[in-house]
Amino acid sequence: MTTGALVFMLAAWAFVLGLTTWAFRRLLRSEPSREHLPPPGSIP
Amino acid sequence: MSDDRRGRPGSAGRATLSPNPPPMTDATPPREQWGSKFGLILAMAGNAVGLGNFLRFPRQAVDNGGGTFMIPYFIAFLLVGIPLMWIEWGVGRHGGLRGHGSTPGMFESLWKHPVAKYLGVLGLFMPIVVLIYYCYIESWTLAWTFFSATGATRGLDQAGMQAFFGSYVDLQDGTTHGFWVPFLFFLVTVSVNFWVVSRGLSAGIEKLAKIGMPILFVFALLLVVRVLTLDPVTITLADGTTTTQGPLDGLNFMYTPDWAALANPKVWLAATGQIFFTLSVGMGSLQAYASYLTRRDDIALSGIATAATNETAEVVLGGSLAIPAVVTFFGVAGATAIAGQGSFNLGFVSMPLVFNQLPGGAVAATLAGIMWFGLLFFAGITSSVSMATPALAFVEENFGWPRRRSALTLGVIVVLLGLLHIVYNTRGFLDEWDYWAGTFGLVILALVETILFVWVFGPDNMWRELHEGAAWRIPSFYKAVMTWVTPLFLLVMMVWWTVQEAIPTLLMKGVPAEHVPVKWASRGVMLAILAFELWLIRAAWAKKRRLAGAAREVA
Repeated sequence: MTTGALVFMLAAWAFVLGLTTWAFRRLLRSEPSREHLPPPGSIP
Repeated sequence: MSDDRRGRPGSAGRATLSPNPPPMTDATPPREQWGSKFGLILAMAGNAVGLGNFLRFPRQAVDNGGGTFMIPYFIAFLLVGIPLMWIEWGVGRHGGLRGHGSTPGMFESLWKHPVAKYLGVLGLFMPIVVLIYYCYIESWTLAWTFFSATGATRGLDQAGMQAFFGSYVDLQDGTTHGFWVPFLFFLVTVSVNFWVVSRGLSAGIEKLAKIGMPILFVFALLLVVRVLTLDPVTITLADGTTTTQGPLDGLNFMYTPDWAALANPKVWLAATGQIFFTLSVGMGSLQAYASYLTRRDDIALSGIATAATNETAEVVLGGSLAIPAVVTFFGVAGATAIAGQGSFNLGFVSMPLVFNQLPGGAVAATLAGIMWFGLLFFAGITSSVSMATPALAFVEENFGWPRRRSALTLGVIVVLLGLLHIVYNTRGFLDEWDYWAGTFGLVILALVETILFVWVFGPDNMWRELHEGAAWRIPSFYKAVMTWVTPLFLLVMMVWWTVQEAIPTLLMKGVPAEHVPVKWASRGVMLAILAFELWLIRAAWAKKRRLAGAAREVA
């Protein structure tokens, strides 16, 4: 396996695995009631 | 479903904190809700992770130059995949809060125009049509799990494996399988699907995802470890020369870009198409799942989590299985030729051949076969149950049918129409449905919903809807991406596909004369389903008007 292909593969894996880990960690620690909630009735 | 499972306020780990608004009509039962945030994400990811992650993705990657394909693939993921994921979650939650679990009502809540509900027929038509043939293909994975366990494919060479597969999918070829075998596995598959959906959202679909997704990931991970630790194999090529290839050669092929090939628009459209299929957008099922959320539930971060989980399954697991395994035993040229014969050839012929050659003999081949086809079955069923959801929600909410009755009725319809696929599969019946509903139709629905949610509903309203209850603020440049780039991407893709594929397919270019009547019949059945669903929408809205009139008279 060439170095370029290895770097590309590791970057691709790091991107998807990092995104998944970040999203789940942040999601499971979130408190929806404290987050951005527009005023009631502001969406038609 | 008990009240406890509907998201009681204060329950730890619940997805929901407050009940949805009251349903639209007196006949409509209370809307269900997801049992937990984690279960919702697993169900959404289960919807997205399907057969395409492990069969279509490697085939597309090989067909489009391996590493060259991966660059537009990731760009399309960021510019089309994630925005569409947010749009579908947003459309679904917005409609669900107004009592709609399917796109006719969802579209009408975005655009107060009589036509809107009829445009929503796409979100009923596509999932039903795809569900019917998808269940048939899913039944192959169940059958091959059984064949792997019983050793039916042990010791077969390439011609034998091809004949074994051919005899299963062609009823007239009884050399290996009795004609009743495909019917039996299809019936079992449909029964399991509709048993799951008849149990409801939390006790059925969510529970299946909580069991099926971990099994899928464990099976895939074990197979990836086995494939990547294979020793290089010396093979004799067609020209008589020998070459030694290992799994890393497969990965090398997957991740070596040919920069010049990036100028080829075909590669970009193939990559965008793959993102489309893999995330299950443009289908109507993500919207149906999202309709069971409340305004306090996050959709911004959940959409990313769903998309990212699917990408992990596809890039890390799907990309490290079939291609490295097939390259090891057949070489890069052999793998390219196999991929050229289609995804099913790769999954149902070449992979069992690879398993037969694994060190460890019959035990290793049996275990690998069970895990490979088992993971495909779980990938399939967690997707197919989602395809049943829009139609079930539609009849429950508009005609007051209880879940079990609607599930049983839809199950019978799937079995009856699925029989046509089994009988006429080799004459192109399935291909027509796969193209018009499972390929071209997805782009049309995605374009329609993007225009309605972003342009008609308005970019500001769309942005506010996505951030209601959000656990994370979406980077603001995505507002411009969703307003301009995503619709443009979709429009270009639709025009390209219309010119390159839809018109030749419509005119049946290159279709053998004996297949033409079957293909017309296939189109006729699809049109009949579409007409029936349009009639159902008309009847549902007429019923609503009658109920509203009666309520006014009482008042």
